[in-house]
Amino acid sequence: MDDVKKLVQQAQRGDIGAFEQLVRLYQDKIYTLTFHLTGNQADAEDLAQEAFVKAFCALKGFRNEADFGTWMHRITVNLWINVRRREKPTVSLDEPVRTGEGEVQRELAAAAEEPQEVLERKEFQRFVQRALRELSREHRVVLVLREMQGFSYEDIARVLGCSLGTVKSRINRARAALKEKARDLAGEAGVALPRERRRRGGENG
Amino acid sequence: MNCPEVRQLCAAYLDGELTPAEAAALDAHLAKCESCAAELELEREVAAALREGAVSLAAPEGFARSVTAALAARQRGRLLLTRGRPPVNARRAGCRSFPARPSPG
Repeated sequence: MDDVKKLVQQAQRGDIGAFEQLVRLYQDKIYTLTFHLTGNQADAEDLAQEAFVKAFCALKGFRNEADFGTWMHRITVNLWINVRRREKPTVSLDEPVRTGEGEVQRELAAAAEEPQEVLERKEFQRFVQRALRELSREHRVVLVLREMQGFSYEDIARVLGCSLGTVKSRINRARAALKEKARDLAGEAGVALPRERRRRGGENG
Repeated sequence: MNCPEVRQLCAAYLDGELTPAEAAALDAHLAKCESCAAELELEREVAAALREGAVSLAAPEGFARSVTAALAARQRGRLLLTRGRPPVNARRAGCRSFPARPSPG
């Protein structure tokens, strides 16, 4: 029996110390997931903590032949989808950051040196991240799992407890929705899409 | 394969999740449909931009301890609630997302 299974068994008998070790093993993965879902550190920490507390309470129902990490992801995702909470605004890269030496503008020094193409690429990335925050939570979950956590379709099906077919269609709809929102945001701001930039580059060269 | 069918399969195509026959049919369509090819390309760019925004984070300092402290606090709350109540309710109360308020009196 591997270490995780032993710790799960001990935690299932109410051993909080064993559960704390499990938390240490999975906290970085779950915190990264909650940060990608919520978009800010305060909400990410709250959600991750709540997910582990919920997991401890539900641990008796966990079949130890299943993967604990997948189960933790499932609990976290379900908690985030089902518990409606007010989201704190995400930190925009344009906003000043408070440091010990007063406010500084993020990326400004580097930005002044960079060619137009790099700036537009960064701007497009920013629109895509913003578009992600505007999607429904169901769509956001599949995109975060797929693109940001690097999960396979099979892993996503296991986390969401649904069929592979459902995962495929959900990812397709989510990507299409994200693309439309990113296109709208870029259009409103007058920023060229990557394809337009390349075409423009081709004409100039 | 027509345009709506192609649009249904874009994500699976980009992720290499189509059968060889489906992928071949989609390739054949893309070779003659500029509009679908452009949409697919944008979708690829958007997915790439999303991946570039991914970070790998470490949980905040003291995180695991804060989880067990929250559990211990809930268990203390549960003990308070067990006074004069059937144990089964108390067990549930200990694991609620938000601690239940003790009933007045």
